[in-house]
Amino acid sequence: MNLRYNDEQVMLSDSARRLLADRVDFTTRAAVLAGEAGFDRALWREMAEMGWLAVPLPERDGGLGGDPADIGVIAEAMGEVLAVEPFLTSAVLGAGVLSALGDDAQRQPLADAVSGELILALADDEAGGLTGSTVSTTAVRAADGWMLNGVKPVVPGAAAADVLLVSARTESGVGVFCIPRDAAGLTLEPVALLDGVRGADVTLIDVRAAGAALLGGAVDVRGRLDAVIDQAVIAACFEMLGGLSVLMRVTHEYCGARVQFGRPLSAFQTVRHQLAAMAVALEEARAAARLGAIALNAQGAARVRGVSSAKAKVGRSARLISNAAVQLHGGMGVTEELNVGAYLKRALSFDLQFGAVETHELRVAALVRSDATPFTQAMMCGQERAA
Amino acid sequence: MSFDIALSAEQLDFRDEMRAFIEAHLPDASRRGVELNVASMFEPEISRPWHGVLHAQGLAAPGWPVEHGGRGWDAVQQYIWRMECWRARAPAISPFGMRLVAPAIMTFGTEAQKAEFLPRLLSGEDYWCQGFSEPGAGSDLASLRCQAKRDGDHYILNGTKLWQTHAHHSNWMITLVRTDDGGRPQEGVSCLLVDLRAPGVTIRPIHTIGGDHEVNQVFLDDVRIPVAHRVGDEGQGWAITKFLLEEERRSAGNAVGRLRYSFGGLLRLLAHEPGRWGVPGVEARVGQIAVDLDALEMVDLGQLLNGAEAFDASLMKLRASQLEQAISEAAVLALGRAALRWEPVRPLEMLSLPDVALEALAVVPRHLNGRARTIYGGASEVQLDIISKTYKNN
Repeated sequence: MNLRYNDEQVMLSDSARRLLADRVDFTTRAAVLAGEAGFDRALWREMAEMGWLAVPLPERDGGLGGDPADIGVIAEAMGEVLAVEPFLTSAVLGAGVLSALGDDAQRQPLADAVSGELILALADDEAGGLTGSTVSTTAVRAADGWMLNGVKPVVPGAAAADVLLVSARTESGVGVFCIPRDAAGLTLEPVALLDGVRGADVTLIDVRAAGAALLGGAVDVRGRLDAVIDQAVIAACFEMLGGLSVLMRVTHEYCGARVQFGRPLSAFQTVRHQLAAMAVALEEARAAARLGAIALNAQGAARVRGVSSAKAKVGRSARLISNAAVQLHGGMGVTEELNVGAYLKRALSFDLQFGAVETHELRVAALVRSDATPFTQAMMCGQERAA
Repeated sequence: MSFDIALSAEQLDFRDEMRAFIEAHLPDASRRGVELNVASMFEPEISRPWHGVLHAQGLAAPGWPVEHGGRGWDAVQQYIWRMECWRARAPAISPFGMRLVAPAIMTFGTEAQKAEFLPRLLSGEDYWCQGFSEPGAGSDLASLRCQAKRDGDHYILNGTKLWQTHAHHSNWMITLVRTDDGGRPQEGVSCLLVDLRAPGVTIRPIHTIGGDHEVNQVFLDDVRIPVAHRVGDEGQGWAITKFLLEEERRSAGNAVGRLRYSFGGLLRLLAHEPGRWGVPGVEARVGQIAVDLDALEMVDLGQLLNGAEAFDASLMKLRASQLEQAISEAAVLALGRAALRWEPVRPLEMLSLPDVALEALAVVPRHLNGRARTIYGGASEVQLDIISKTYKNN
């Protein structure tokens, strides 16, 4: 039993935080977001050189075979500085989908993903729902392959993507197609997301895709796709934890420094109690994220329970902490100039993607309703022997 | 995977062995009493039979050192044992004796005190209550006023204690008294073991809003207590209290075990009537409780594996008490209009009604009694104060 980072992870965390603290600056954030790519390409290359983009991928694809905790370390470090580089959307989710669903030939481009030259983005969920992604985009058989039609609104990481991984309904179920950004009929309309990051509205009008562009052939891949999305959800949870720990620290410091009525704010019990509530929420969120990481090894109800518990709990804690951080910073908390509001926006963005707090709590409630037993005893009581 | 909460093969064997033991030996009446319990602690008539079984098997205090009658189990074994007991709905036995008196005597007591008290505590012959709070000393325990005046090789106690759970069942009380008025309030406090059968002791019942008699007021009028029953030195009472709080931090598993049992009760209630899941708000609350409880269990496991400090103990107390209340409130909501029906008889199992009906009648009393959870053992406001002073910022 272990709930600590190992020495390598501690070193990775230290080096990641040092690099990002040096390269990412809140005062230049707006300029980076407005730039050509919407992120710092030089930093992206450095991240690739450090091997970060290889961490989420298996060794057979040129990766380092990192586990969710390893990925989480990098994500958390990025979340601390509100980094906008596409680690989550390209290295974890996009590359993860290609790695999980593609055959040997289809996975060849992953070497370029690891080196940072190839940016990938998954265009999947269209509306969000209780049981996962909603897909109405269609793929019908055409000469030499397929024809895709549909709309993927507000796709994170798509604006700068070289290749989109587009989910569409085939006659077999849901399939994922590799579509290069310059494909005829594909439109990528850049949109600003609420936290400043650039996404894209993706429209497919009679977009042709070769048979070899359908990852893994004409079968339903919804389940396997969701498994990769689960990985991204947990990575997003750790990224969020990074932001929340910064909010905790800066709010604590601010309340100790800001003097009103002749005393620092933290001399007032109501302020101290809000800080305490934030600290409790952060600790619980960390614990839930670890459960989610562990659950990625499980299947079925145990996996849904862990992943949904993590997303829901980190989300609820994120609401409490980010709202309280703004509140305790007073008027400054709602200015663009201060970083606190940017973390609040990231918390909102986190909640709105991959299912909000209430969605995941209801998902867990459904599990409880169908089989109460795992919830009426400690987790260790329900463990079974390895086969 | 670096993070891992899987038990080893040996730990699984241990778990299964303990599960089989509990299954074979837990009296049905004890289990039923636990299921229908509405108060904060289990009545002795529920816990004593189980205590007797455990003592006969050398399992009354398996975390104690072997020389005192324990098994010397490590923290993980004790945790597994506690969780299996809660899973089986076994009653916690002699909580004040086990969690307060035993650690106090083992660490600060004389050899004579260990020889006198530990065996009877272990066997269940002695049943203990906690005499700390007073009418004027609740959250501010240091302002306690109960006096202990030295008279030869006795102390003469005068004063009153308040909120003693199960004093009316107990023959002994561990007490904090003032042996010295000078200096800071904490400095003059000493810890005494009081024989409740001594002349001058009066126990008055307090009835609480759940319809139960659990707590009492204890009056001490010129009660003579041997100096030999003082634990530690004069003036060491406060240090002993702080030590006991730290000990408490190291006993991970109880709060979360109890929460799983409480959650199980709610889910049984929901299963009894199909309409209950459909009551507006119930499903959402169940989902939130389940998620919060999973997170808290992971926090608990982190404390088990990585140690617990003041911040961790206060977090656990605060959140566990809030979650118990969330569970009891969801149960009341799920019952709906039927919850208006009030049943004064205690214990509920005395009524000749099917268990399904008794479990419904238990909901409101349990909820009302449960309002005390965020008040005793360090009120939530006190816990938030502690947390605000002890959270780390890295």
